[in-house]
Amino acid sequence: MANRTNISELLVGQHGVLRAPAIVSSCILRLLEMGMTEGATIQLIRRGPMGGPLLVVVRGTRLCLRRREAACFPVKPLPS
Amino acid sequence: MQVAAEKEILLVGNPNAGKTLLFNRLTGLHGKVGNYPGVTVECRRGQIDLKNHPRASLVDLPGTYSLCPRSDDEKLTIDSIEQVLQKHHGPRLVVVVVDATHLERNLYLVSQLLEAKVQFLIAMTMMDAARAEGILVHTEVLSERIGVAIVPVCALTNEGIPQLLDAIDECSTTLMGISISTSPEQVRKRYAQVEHWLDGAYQKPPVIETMTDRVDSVALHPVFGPILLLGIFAVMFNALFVWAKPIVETLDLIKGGATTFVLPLFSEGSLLGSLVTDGIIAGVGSVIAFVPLIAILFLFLGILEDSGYLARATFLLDRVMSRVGLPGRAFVPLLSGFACAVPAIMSTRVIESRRERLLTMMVTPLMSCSARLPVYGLLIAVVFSSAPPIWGLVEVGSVVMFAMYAIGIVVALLIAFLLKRFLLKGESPALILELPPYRLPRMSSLLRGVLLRVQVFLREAGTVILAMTIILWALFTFPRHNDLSPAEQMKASYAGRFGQLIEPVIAPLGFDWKIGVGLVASFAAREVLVSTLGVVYGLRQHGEDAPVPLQKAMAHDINPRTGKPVYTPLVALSLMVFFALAMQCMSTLAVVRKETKSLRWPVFQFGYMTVIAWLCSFTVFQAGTLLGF
Repeated sequence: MANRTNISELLVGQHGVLRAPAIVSSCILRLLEMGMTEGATIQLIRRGPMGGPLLVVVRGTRLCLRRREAACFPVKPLPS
Repeated sequence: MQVAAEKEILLVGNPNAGKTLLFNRLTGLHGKVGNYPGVTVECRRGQIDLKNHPRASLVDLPGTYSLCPRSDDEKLTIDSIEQVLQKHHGPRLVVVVVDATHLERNLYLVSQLLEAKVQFLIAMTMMDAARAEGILVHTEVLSERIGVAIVPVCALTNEGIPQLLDAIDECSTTLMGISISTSPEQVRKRYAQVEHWLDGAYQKPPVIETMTDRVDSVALHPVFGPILLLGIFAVMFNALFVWAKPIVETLDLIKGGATTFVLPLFSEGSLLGSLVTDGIIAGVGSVIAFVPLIAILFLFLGILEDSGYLARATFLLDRVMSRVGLPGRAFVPLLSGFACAVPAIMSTRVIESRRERLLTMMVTPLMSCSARLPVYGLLIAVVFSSAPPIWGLVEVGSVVMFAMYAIGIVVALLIAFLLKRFLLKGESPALILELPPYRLPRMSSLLRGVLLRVQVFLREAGTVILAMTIILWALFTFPRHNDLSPAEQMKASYAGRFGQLIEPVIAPLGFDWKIGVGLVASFAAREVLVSTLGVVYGLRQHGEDAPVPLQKAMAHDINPRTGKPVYTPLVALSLMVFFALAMQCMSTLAVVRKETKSLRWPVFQFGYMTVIAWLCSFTVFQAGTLLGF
C-alpha cells in the first residue's frame, strides 16, 4: 500500500521521497524539470482551501501545483 | 560583404532570478521589475559600454526554466537565443543569470546549455539574500567543476558588477544551435549532474522557519488568507476614494483659479478665450485633476508586485479560477488589468495553452483599468459625496467604487465560464507556479513605477485628450448663433444635434444627449467623458465671473422636462456600469489583434463587451426606475 501513496496524500508538513511518475505529459515533464525527479525529497506544506492547489517544497523551491498533477507523482512517505 | 556588427549579449535564466534588475544595473535603464515569476514577457534591449566593445547591446529575455519551452514567453526566449546564435555576425555572448538562493533548480538550465554545447558565462545573483539565509557557495570550486566562469553579483549593492562587466567584455559564445531533447531519464541525469557539482561546494543551514514561512502561515491560511486578501483590496478601494478626495478638490480649485487668471487676457466674447478656458482648461484640466487617484492605485499595485504577495493570491484564488475555466496563471494578468489592459494582455504570454490564453485575453479588459478611475471619481463626487457614511463608518463613495470593480470581476468570471463552455472548450490545464520568498518593496523602485504611470497618464492627457477636447469644443461651439443663450447655443451646435440624434439609443439607459456625446467621444479614450463634460459645463458658464467646479455644475444641472437633477444616483450608477463593461479602448483592441494574430478576436471582444455594457446599464436604470429610485 505504501507504494501507492501520492503527494496529495502526504500529511501536511510530512516529507516523502519522490518516485518516477507512471505517465508523462508535457506538464509532468515540466514538473520534473523543476526538480521533482525520482529520489528528490518533497515536503507538503499546505493544501489550498476548498480543494485548491497544493504547496510543496522541493529542492529549496516553494512550488504550487493542482491536485490532479500531484496525484501523478508516487511518493514514499518518510516518518514525520 | 558583412559589416562587423556590435557585440550582442543575452541575459538568460530562470523566471524571477533577477535578470531585469541586473539589466537595469548594467544599462542604467528602468525595465519593470517585480517579485513574481513572469514580470518580463518581451525582449528588452539596452546599450552597455565595454572597454573593447564600446557599443555592445544587452538583451533582457523573459525567464525560462528549460530550453524546451512550454509557453509563449519561454518560446520567445529560446527563439531569440537561436536567432542571435545563428544570424548575428558580430561577437555574441550568453550570460546565464543564476539565483544563488535556488541553485539546484537554476543549475538545471545550466546543465542543458552545457549539453547543447553553448559557451556562456554565469552571473550568480542574490548573493546578499543567500548570505542572509546562511547559504555558502564556493564559487571557485563550482566554476571549476562546471567548467564555466562564475561571477557572483548583487545588483542592488553593485557588488561584483565591475568584475561582471570585465568578464562580459572578454568572453564570447561561438557555437550555433541550442536544440536539445528532454525525457524523464534525461531530466534525472541532469539533476544528478547538478547534485554532483553542488556536493561540498554549497552549504545550506538546516531548515529553519523563515520569515516567508511565518508570513505564509497567515497569508495562505484557509480562513485568514482569504480574509487578508479581501482586506487588502478593501483598503485599496477605500484609499482610492478617501485619500484622493482632498487632493482632487484642491486641483479642481487650482483649475478654477487658472480660468480666472487667464480670462482677462482675452477680449470679451473672443473665440480663442473660449477655447482656452471652456475648452482646454475645463476639459483637460478636469482629467488632470484625477492624477492623485492614478498615483494611489499604482502605489498599491506596486507594493503587491514587489512584495511577492501576487503569487500567494494566485494560490488562494486558483480554485475559483479553475471552476470558471480560467488557468491559475491568469490571475496576474487579470490583476494588472486594474492598471491597464495593454500590458496585462501581453503578460498573458506566461499562460501555456493557447486556448486558455485567448480566454484570459477576452476577459482582461473587463477589469476596471486606471482610465476608468477619473470617470468613477467624477460621478461619485457628483452624486454620492454628500451622502452620510454607512453606519457612520464607510463612505458610500468607496462602496460604489468597490462595486464597480466587483461588477467587472463578476462579469469577467461569467463570460470566461460561458466562453469555456461553448467557444473555447477544453480541459482545464495545470497550474505550475513558484512562490517567491517575500521581499520588502524598495521605496525608490515603487516611486519610480508610480511616476512612470503618472507620466503616461499626463502624456495621454496632453495628446489624445487634448486633441479630442479641442475637436469637441469646436463641435459644441459651431455653428454660431449669437442671439441664443449658451445652453441653447450648445443644443443647436453640431455636437448638440448629433447628441439629440442618438438620444433614443441611450435614453433607455437614463442618459441625456450631453452624456451621449461624451459616451461616443470616449470610445477614443475613456477619460474623454470627463473632459467632454468639462467642456459642456465650461461653455455653459461662459462669461460668468466665478465658474463653479465641474462636480458642482453637474450636481446642479436640472433636467428642464422633469425638473429633477440630470445626475441622479441612478443615472450615475447606470453610466458607471456602462464604463465598467464597455470596450472603449483602441490600444487594447490593437494589442489583442497583435497577440492573437487575427481580426476576429478583437472584433468579437468589442462586440460582446459593448452589448453587455448596454444591457447591464439598461437593466440598472430600468429596474432602478421601477423600484422608485
